[in-house]
Amino acid sequence: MRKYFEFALFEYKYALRYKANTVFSAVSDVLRFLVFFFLWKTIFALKGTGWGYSFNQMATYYLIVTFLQSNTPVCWNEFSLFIRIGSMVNFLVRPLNIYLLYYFRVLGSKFSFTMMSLPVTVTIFYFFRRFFILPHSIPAIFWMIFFWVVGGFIYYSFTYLVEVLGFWVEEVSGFSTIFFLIQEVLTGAIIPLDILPGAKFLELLPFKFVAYFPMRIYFGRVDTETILKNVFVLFFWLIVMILVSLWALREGLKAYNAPGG
Amino acid sequence: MKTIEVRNLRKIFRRPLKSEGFKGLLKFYFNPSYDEVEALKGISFDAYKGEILTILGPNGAGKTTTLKILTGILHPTDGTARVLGYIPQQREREFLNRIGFLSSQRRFAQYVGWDLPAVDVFRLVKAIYDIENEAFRVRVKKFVDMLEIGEFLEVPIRKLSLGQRAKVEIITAVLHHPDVLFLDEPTLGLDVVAADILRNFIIEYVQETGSTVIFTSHYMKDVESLSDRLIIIDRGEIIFEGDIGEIYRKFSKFRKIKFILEENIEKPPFEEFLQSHDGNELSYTVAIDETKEFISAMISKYPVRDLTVEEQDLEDIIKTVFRRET
Repeated sequence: MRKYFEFALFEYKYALRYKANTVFSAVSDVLRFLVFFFLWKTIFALKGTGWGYSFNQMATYYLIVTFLQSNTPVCWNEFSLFIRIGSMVNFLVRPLNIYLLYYFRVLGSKFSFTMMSLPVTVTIFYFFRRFFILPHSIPAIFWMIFFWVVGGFIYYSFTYLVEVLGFWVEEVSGFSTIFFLIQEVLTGAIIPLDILPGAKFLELLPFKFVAYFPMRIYFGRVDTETILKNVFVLFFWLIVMILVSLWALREGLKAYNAPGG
Repeated sequence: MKTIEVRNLRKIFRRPLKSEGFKGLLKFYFNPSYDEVEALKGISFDAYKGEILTILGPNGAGKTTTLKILTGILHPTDGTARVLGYIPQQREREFLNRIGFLSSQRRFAQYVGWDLPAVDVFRLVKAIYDIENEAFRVRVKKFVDMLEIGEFLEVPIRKLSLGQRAKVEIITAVLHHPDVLFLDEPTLGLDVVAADILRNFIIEYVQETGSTVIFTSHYMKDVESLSDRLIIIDRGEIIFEGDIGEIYRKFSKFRKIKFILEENIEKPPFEEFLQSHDGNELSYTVAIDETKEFISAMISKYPVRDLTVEEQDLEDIIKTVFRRET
């Protein structure tokens, strides 16, 4: 595993060089939060309560979900580009698991982003502190982080699979756009899943673990039995996604033409 | 000891066909058609420990496809390839630890560390192959000295020249001392000095490690300086396998003979063979089996101060082979 950590460190250092890009990404997070904040302020003003959440809970939800979303690992579209132009060979000829390699590379880069965007997040916390609700308990923070980290790996696996399609199709950006649109709903990033119709079905999917479910734990809305049940669901999806991801790479390589010199 | 064994290797690529214009685009979307290209037509060859084997051929001959199958990147359509006893496509960790590959794009360092210095990229390679600290230190120093890039180690990759980057890239391919090293056009785009340094580096590397090197090239200088053995491949078929001496014996048809006469002459003899004439210097191209008679005839007619006989340029011979004029 040391080599993957080394790659993560490498990407961390690399990302530090793009300060302006990081600051602008952090600013886009602020804008996203503000859009949801004022949207729900208007909804609460017009329609009153009855959403199952108080306004302060909604504000807290979007503030934390925005942070979680920005820091959830997403396989870079460089992956499918490298498949298309043949540059993937540079990694394939080395003793590297490409699936893990990109995960750690993304993590390194994300960590750098987190460090540099933290002041921006803290500033929002400060200005919106009167709306901010503290976590339900210390174990809630632990469980929240646990589900987010493992769920983040599952989420990464989905984005990785979209990129792996590059072995069969020339351009995956269409698939990628559709995936990112759908995941906004499925993760609960746009709206908490329990407000949506069909929430029961959505709760069976693993996307909730990167936004909606950790926030339910944060608010203390999940009992121990449900947490343990979801640990099972989480690991079921984790195993499925690992197996599918490894299989997809193996099959993709069989179809690969490795263009270019 | 045999390190590579290739038997009846075939590779067929399926290519989408796109006709021109909007109509062609619509056709491609709704009724796509494909053609098949047989890049390798059942080639077989072996390579041995400590050998430098060149795969030579025109563009599209199947050279890079062969290397990509041997490194496990491509799956063959048919036939078998074994490298160090491994089936490359199984991509076993031990196999990948024992091979090195430098693609003609030479972009590993560029992709992982465009903004970072070469020394960081080397550290990454150290981690990938789990190279011990002392071995890493010794090898980096040695390779850096041999390739004369000591002063560029702290410079970001993006600020290096093409030649300097090529040298960094080859170090990333050999730092783990691979038993088999695949080089796809290693001197492509390099100036003569950089290419020469790189060639010497490869020779020294093989002498020291006893590794097998398989490289592709278009340059005769590479072939002449490096090759122990040569495979000429064209349109997916091996059309020659042997050493350079065999190439001359088999395909060379002419010799260049240069005479320096005692006196200038105005009208040189044997004009049908004459290549150039300048005062008392005359150059001829003569069929190999007529060389002896030709020289005798010249010497009997004119007083000769000096004469040299040269083999036909390897490049000309290879061109002849490619054109199937043999």
